[in-house]
Amino acid sequence: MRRFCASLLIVVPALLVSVEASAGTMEVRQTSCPEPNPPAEDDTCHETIAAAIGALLAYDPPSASNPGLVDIGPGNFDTILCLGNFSHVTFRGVSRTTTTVAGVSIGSCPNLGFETLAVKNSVVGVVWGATGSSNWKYVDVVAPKPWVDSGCNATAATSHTMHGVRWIGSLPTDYGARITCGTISFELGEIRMSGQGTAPGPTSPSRYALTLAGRGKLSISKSAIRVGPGTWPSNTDWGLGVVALSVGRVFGAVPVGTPTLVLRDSVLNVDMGKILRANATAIETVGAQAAVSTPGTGFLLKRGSQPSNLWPARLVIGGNHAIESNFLWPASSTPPQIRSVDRADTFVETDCDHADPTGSCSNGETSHLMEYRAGQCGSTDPWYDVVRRACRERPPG
Amino acid sequence: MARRWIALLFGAFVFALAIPSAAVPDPDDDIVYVRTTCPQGQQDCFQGTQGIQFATTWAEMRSSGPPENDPPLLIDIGPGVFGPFFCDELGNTTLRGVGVESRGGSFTKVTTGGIFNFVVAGGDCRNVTFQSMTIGDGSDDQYSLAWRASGDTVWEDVELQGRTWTWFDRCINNDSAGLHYFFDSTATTTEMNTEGFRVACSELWWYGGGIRVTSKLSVAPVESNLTGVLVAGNGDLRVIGSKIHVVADWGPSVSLDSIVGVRVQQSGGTDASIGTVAPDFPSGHGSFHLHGSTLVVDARAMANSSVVGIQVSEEGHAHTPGAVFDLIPPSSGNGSARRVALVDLELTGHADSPYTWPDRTLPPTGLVELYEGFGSIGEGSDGFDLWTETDCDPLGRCPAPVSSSESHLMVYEPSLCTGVGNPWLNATTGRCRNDAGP
Repeated sequence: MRRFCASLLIVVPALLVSVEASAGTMEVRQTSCPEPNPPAEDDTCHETIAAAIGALLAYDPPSASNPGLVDIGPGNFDTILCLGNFSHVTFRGVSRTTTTVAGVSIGSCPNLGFETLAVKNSVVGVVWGATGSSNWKYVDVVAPKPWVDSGCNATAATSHTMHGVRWIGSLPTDYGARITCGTISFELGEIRMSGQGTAPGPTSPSRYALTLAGRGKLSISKSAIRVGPGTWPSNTDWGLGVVALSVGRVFGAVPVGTPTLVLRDSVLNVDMGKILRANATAIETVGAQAAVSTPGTGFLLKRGSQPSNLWPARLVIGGNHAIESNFLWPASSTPPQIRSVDRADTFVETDCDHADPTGSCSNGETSHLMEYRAGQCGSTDPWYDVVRRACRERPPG
Repeated sequence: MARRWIALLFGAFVFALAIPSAAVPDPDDDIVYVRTTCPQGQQDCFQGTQGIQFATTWAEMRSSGPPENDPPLLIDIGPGVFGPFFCDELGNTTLRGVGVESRGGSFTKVTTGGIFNFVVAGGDCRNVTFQSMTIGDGSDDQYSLAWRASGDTVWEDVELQGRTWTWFDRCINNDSAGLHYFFDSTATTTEMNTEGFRVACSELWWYGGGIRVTSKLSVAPVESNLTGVLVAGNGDLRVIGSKIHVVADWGPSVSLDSIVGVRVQQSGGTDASIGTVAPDFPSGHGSFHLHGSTLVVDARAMANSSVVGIQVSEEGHAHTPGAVFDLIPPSSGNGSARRVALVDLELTGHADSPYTWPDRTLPPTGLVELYEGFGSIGEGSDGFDLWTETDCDPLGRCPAPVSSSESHLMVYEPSLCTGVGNPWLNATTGRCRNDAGP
């Protein structure tokens, strides 16, 4: 039908409309730039982003009082590259489904903007070096490693805000994204990290979807983080499994600091249920300093499908770190099979026997509040019965 | 195929496929324009109220392969009011307006003007974005968006308005579910009479903005059990950082059995007046997630009606940690409010909905008759709700006969604590709240 109708179209040469660009604006078009004869040096329409940046810097240098705009049309375009040579420029595409750039590579460029476009790369989506700052709105970053920063300045931290942004990455053999140089404030967006390519084997080491180290701070609000096996086959047998958010684990050189995770009013879903075996850890902290806060955030954790003693971990704390992360699991007749830190997790068990002096919680009809206390109650059944003031299904004392 | 289905479903919505002579874009154009009035001689501009439909039809016809292989295209829509259109077999395209109507200033609006019953009918649209426009009119258009299965879309700063549905989707036969993301967008249904937003064959992610379903005095409800948002069949709705607001304000002369904010179930709900195609719900479970969000069900203007936040039935599944509930029961008569109702659960059906009410000196009045269902006894209700009472004494007397400010944790426990209006177990004393002991 489409082919038939297309054959009926009357094809005429395109009417090339001259673009009246405002000051500080360069357009990037794949097919619809006018073709002045002879070519003018100060054209405002170019076929590559690099050419548009070059023209902008040459003829209308952007500044705080004269911010620049690179208006990118439909199609696939080259990498947005800034090596300390400009600031105050916004790169605006058509949308994340219609404008794609091959990457974003930045070194020490402040006050950049990225709007309504997709960044797609087979290795790293955004490489941010040294200092700088940026605002992102309605952008997809699609790459195995959506964000990698490095080479931090000794004194200045980077700062980035993201609204309605999606990071769509994978689970490479080391890490998926790395934040070490400053703060990323991420709201109303999604971070989705899914397995791709060759699946890990039984002895493969853990992989880390998102890592924070050094001065890296990630503040996520009203967003979803989703980590899963993606295209890995259902018989994937991976003993150690994935860590969704690692706070303090170092890959490469990082500055001294306190890596910090704030996860507010969001949901963190680590779901390995579609493969045979894999552990799932939501948040870990390692190293000398780390801070985690998760107010109002829901957790949804699934290990591999094969029964085992691998329990998903909501929190694995590797030091004397600042942790504010309490979570009330859904009420249930069976305790959630999870690992956490003492007193951080609670749930209401619904089948306890209030009159049973042994504290049986298997066939009763009353609800008891349970608190995670592996240090007191052991790892086999780490729950403390708050109503009875005793470890679950064990005598007081 | 999808177009054929849509035509069957919605009837007399027929556009001539001929491109108007005023617009003859080059097939290689990557930007085309839609304007109420095009500049003289601009051949890449589609003019008039049917401009969007003409532009999308041109875009579909210029490519012969599957929509995901279409060349990237921007359909730049100017300010004004335009007619309805199909989104079918379109790929890698953006439809960009100039803004939504409610914000004031210049806006792009798409409406039927009451001539047809839907504004945008979607199907196999792949990688398509809609930006900055109002779709539908709360007075004129029955459906804002009607979607059949498959497709993947993104909606940014879009306002949906419809009389009876703002989102309505379905699968036929073995259609695969669609995937749709909404950012900073709102959906407002103005005449709730069955359900106002129905997800049966899509995975919808809603970030920011919200879904609002309201009633209209002049349009009486057609059922005694009304639902703001229905999630059924293969429907999967995930609302994050947003607000679902359901308001029933027919007044005290209208009594309903229930007003449900979000109903999650396996099978279908009510289909009203949607043509000759029989209701069809794919096999599935219905899945609903609510995080960092607020669910409001407001029936204060009604009488003798039951307000329910979330109702989960059959193999439905709800997951709501981090959500906030604001349930406002009728202000007169025998109304009640329930946060979650579990009704006739089967197999894997469940609600993961733990909730801690704010600290207070009295139980959450009117909000504690949970899980009774409608004519059936709810299952698995114990332990869902917690709150801390702040005026107890060491004996567990709350309030204490002599002023005391000890805090005791209360657990919802209707199967043990059967006192009328007092289904709370004092977890500090291990006794029911109304059984302070010696």
